[in-house]
Amino acid sequence: MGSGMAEVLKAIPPPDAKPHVVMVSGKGGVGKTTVSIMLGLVLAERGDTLVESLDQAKHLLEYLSLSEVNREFKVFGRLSAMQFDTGVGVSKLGREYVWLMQRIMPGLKVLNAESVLDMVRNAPGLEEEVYLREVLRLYSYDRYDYIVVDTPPTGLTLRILNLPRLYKFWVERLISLRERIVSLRYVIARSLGQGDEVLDDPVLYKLKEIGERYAVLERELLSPNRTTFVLVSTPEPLPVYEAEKTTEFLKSLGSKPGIIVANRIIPEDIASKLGVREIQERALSKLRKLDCRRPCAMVEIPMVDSVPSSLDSVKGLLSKARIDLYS
Amino acid sequence: MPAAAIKTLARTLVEILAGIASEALKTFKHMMVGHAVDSLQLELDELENAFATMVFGSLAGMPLVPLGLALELSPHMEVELAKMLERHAKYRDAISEYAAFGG
Ligand SMILES: Nc1ncnc2c1ncn2[C@@H]1O[C@H](COP(=O)(O)OP(=O)(O)OP(=O)(O)O)[C@@H](O)[C@H]1O
Ligand SMILES: [Mg+2]
Repeated sequence: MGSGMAEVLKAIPPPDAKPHVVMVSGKGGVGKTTVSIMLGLVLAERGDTLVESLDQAKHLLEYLSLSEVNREFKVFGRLSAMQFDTGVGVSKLGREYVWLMQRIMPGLKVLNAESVLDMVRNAPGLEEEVYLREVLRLYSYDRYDYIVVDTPPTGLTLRILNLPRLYKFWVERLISLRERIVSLRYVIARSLGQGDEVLDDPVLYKLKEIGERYAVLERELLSPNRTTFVLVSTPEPLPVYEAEKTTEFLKSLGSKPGIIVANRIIPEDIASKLGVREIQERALSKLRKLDCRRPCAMVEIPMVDSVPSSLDSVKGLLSKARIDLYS
Repeated sequence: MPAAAIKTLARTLVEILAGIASEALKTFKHMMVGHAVDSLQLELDELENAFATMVFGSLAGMPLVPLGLALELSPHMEVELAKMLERHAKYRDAISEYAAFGG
């Protein structure tokens, strides 16, 4: 067992293209935001680093005293931070959506603005789309060597990660159907002695462009040189269960976590007094057994008395973290 | 009638008949082509409708195609969208009811 969080760098390959994206996920309240800042501090020793929180709870704002959402702030050395807010993205995408809905349902025009907006906010898939576009943007945001993403709740994160695959599935099918449509249009145009403009089909171009975009994203998400998944959990049954489910999901995508973090470990003597030692041990051993890519960093962070709530307190936590490297 | 005149008349008649025949043939050809084009057009309509339904189905209670895909394609598919709506006028009422549920 090495000590010092810097060891964790060994589990993050040097990026072959900028940036390398570190996705931090885990059940609500386990310490995702705290761990994201810790990783950000460590990575900033090696390169320009951005910690971006996609979490709606916006804890990052208070944590680092950021005064605004959707704006990057220099935090310390080569570390910057930003709290992402879906508001702008939702209203932009929402406008497109309303426009389309009004075309599909002319009756919609009579509904008042409030209820249209309400419907848009609850539109299936809108939120995921906004996050997906942000993730896409981050992968091509080469001002940074590393971007640490503090992800939204697990269920939503998994749906976002699944979207490129869903896109691929649909785009492939739509392209093959569209190609039949275009060739039929061509045959018809030729029989009627018309030109071959129909071969220039904007929908087909767009489909191919979208397909390429998400194929690239999928490759980046699965490439160990572009992406490291970090699973954070506390040594308790439910967060561990969620970490196991997430590992299974990553496996189904063709990926594995690169860093496992067990946070808020209660010191053994106290755990014994509280009667939770066994539960904690069982949880820890499950976390150590998660199928992790190599080299894998297992990080263990003790529970501290004073609740970390500032950059300095996170720096304090850094020195208490212990790392085990599996290679 | 002098022989020469008869010859000329005959030639004219033949020409006229040939002309009629060739016109008829053209029309016939046209009809054949037209028929073929009609059936192709029918198939095309079916495919276009299937395509539009796949793209915009998520907005009509078939939540399969990612929303963003429909949004990105929609500016290029106005004509097809309109055609699809005509065909689906019946369940447009159903969708309107669904919208009223939110409002
Ligand atoms: N090792 C630790 N010891 C004591 N308290 C901790 C530790 N790590 C995190 N905390 C505290 O636990 C709380 C939750 O941490 P954090 O906000 O990082 O979790 P989160 O997973 O991001 O939560 P959310 O799901 O709400 O975004 C915070 O008050 C934080 O200060
Ligand atoms: Mg958080």
